[in-house]
Amino acid sequence: MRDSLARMLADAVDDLFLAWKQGVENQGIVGDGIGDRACFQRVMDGILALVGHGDGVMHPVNMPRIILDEPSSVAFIVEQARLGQAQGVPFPRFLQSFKVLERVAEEYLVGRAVPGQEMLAALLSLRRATDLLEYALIQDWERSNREDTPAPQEQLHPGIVLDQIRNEIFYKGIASLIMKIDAQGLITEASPQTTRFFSDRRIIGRFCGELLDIGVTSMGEILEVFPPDEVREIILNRDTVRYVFEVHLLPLNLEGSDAGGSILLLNDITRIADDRLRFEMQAGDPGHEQFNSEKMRSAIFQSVGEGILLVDQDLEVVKANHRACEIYGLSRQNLIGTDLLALTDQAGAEKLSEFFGRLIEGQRLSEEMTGLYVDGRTFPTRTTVTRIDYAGKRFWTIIVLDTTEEKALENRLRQEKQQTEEMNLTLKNVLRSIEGDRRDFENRISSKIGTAIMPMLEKICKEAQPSVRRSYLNLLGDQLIALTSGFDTELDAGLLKLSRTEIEVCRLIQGGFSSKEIGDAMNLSFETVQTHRKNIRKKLNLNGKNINLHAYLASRACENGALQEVRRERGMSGGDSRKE
Amino acid sequence: MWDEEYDIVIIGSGFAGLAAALEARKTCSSVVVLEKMQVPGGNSAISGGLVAAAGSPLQAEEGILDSPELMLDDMLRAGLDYNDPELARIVAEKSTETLLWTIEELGVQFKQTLSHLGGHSVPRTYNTTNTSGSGITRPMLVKCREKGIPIDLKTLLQRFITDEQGAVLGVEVRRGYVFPHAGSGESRRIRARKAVILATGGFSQDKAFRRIQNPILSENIESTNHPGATAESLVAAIRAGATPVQLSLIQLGPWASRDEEGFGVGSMFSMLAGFPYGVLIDVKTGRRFVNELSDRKLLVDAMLNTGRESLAIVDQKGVRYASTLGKCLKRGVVKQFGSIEELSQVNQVPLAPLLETIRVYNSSVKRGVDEEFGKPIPEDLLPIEEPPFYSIRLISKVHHCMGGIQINARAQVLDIETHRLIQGFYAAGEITGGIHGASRLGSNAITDCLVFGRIAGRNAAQDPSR
Repeated sequence: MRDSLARMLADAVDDLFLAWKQGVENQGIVGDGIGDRACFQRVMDGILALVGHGDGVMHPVNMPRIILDEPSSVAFIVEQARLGQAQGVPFPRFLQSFKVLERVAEEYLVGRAVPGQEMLAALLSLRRATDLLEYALIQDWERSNREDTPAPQEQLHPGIVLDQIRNEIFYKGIASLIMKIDAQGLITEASPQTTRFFSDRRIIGRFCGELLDIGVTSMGEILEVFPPDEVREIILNRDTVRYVFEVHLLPLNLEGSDAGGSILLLNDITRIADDRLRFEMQAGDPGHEQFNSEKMRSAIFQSVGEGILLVDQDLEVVKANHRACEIYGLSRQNLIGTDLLALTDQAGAEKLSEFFGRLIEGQRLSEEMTGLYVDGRTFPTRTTVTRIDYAGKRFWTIIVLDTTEEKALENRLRQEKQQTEEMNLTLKNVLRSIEGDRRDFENRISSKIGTAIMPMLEKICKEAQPSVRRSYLNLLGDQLIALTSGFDTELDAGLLKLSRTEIEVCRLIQGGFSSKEIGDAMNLSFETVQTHRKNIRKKLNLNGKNINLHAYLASRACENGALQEVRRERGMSGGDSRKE
Repeated sequence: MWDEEYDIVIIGSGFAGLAAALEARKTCSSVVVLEKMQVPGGNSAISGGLVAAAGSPLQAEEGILDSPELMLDDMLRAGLDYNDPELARIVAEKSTETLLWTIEELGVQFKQTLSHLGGHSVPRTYNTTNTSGSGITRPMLVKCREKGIPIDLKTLLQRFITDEQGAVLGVEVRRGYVFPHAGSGESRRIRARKAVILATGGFSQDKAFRRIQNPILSENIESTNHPGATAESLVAAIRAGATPVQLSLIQLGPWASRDEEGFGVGSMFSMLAGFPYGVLIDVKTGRRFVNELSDRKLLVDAMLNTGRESLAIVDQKGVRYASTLGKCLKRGVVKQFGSIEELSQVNQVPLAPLLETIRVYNSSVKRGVDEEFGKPIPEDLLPIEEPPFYSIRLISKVHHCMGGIQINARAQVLDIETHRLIQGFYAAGEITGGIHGASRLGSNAITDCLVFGRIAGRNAAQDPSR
């Protein structure tokens, strides 16, 4: 890639020169060597050499070290700048001309018809090389400033130096994202790239820990996560793309600068991380240890709740996470080396085999299947299979979700639904029986009306004596009240059938008198009283029943006083009776 | 006072715990097994699945003369008579009966050939067909499920609950414990109406504890054990009055691979092929330095001596019983070579001495006697001459704790002061001490665990309810 980048640039060196010349002319910085072919050629050669350099150079983190370890690789630019200064080119003007060169080279690359991926890589490499050179330039310039001026603080305030560095370098290149944070970790400034990267978020004033999604809440914790002298990697997800950044926290302890603030540098090393992953994948036997790489680790071991297995071409488990062990009841040692198909039943094995047969690289298929616990218990799973190809070999990641609880919930819901349906049915039946009861009831009422009330009305019609009629009417009213209230006690239609004499006999029986006493009291013969008794029994429907008339009448009287009422309304009270 | 109640509470779900559970369940309906890890089986499930039995059917078939007395002799010899002879005798005497129990009652499947492990006078070792202890724990777990014995995972023993007389009434545990986070889970008190059976294994992974017992076992010495093989249950038992014995007797395994973690697949390769059918050499000199079929202690002592780098070499004929060979090759634990020259180059062994070593060894094999180191030469031991050749790089790893708490012949835990049994307290398996003395012979551990696990379960079930 880098070779081809160097070649691309070398092929276009004439075009680039013309574009650069045009650029510096437009900016009005031509002269004293700038705009010359010789100057251009020296810088260009240096860039090409750097671009063709090994891996390490391109790693932004290594830049300061490279400048220390291999000053020759960047010396040309410093020499060129010094030469320019000697010729009367102030440093900012030289830097500006260099930036123009960087821009035209980038524009040239963008104009080339190369695939996106390759283009990105080329741009990244170029950018890193120019960043490095810029860094070296600034560093040298700063040093020479310090050397030249005995009391730099007086002439050049450190804050101004900082601003310049920030403006000239940081914001434009070396690190991908730059933020300045205060002592509380709140972001006070951010580079344009940073703003772009977090496009949909307000950045200034936000707590950086929150922005970086690292789950910390204080500056103290930030310092724990990103110790100032160390480099840490974090992963940021933006719109489904996963970026890997190296994070440096640089405390600002320059005199005169904001006390306690820091600069947060985030170097985008996504590609490097990916390369590293690929490298690890390819190094050695791809069956095993290389899967310890960052990506796999995060994918496999940071996952919660789901069991993840990595399976090789022999369908043997080569990697398993904690949850997978728990799901199958096997320790990692037992699980690794196990035949995947032994972890499911016949149908599951067939399904998996079919998946393995037809999955293409990167494709993902999901299926409900039975899992087999170590003690032979089976449980429902949702199993997702993805194929990954590495170094010509196939691997599959198997994500297993134990759906026992889910299924139990489903079953419970189903049961509840069924119960509800049964309940509905029962309610319907109850309603129907209530409806039946109601109808029975109506029938009973109409029959009562037919058997008790209608005859009473007839009697009222026939009865000439007003007092008797009134008492019949009262009785009728009571009967109607009884009909509509309670319905608990059965209406005693029998009582209404009794004649006046019979009612009097009843009263006396109720009072505990014997037939002889009743005969004496009513001036009736014993036989007549017995006949009355017989008729009363018949009318009260007590014939053939082993019920004592006295007890019956006593209970009736207690209950509703019907007899008393009948008696009173018929004007039969005490000694008056015989007067009537 | 109590959150839960069972007749019998068993701590640990390895060979001893499961054997105790199954035996107790025969006469007692309320049995529970508690396991602190998130998976059952502990070290048992990752062990090699080798079972020693004296006077077994396969020995009879092959015409091998053996007896419990001979097995006991072997145990005492390797154990340097540190063994409790009564307990050791029980292991030897019940070995075949117990083996048959695993076959007939559990349906465990064994290979139809015996192995001859170091320190045993005769071949008396059965191998599970899957070359793993899981070949036994799995049927045990299936049986437990069928019998309705719950195996409660993620339940950590915290302490024994005793009465004024010292009898064990129950245990305090943490349910929902997530190994190794000490504070996780919820504290519960579980009553054992009859007894508690402790079957928690050894402490080979407890680097701090084992170093206290034996300062030579520094942090950087690996272990073949699963990570949960720690000492907290042993400490709890001692607090409850149990008698610790021989805790400093900790065995290292000589057969584990330098190229993988833990017991792995290489250990069984060494045991089944490297040691019995190959030579063990020092990489620096290319020479043998010990009888490959010595017991583990002698082997480890010889390997640790002057920082030797040990390499076992075996040929095509020698690997015929190495059932983990495929996995070993796949994982790079065992390497395969077309010639001894190639083997010596890759392993950086000086060629000339190595060729000489193999020549001398081969002639010893042909003569039938190893004058140099006294390795027994059975009939099926053949010279190393047929390519491809195989090598495995070895390193000693902490493997087994011979020490533990003292029990009697009924598997009852004995009190440290009175030397009498503690009511309601049984123990079995690697947590117990004194059975194997100074060095446990290979394949005797499973026999021990199963024998005493069953004894503990049966006796505990016969205890009266309290």
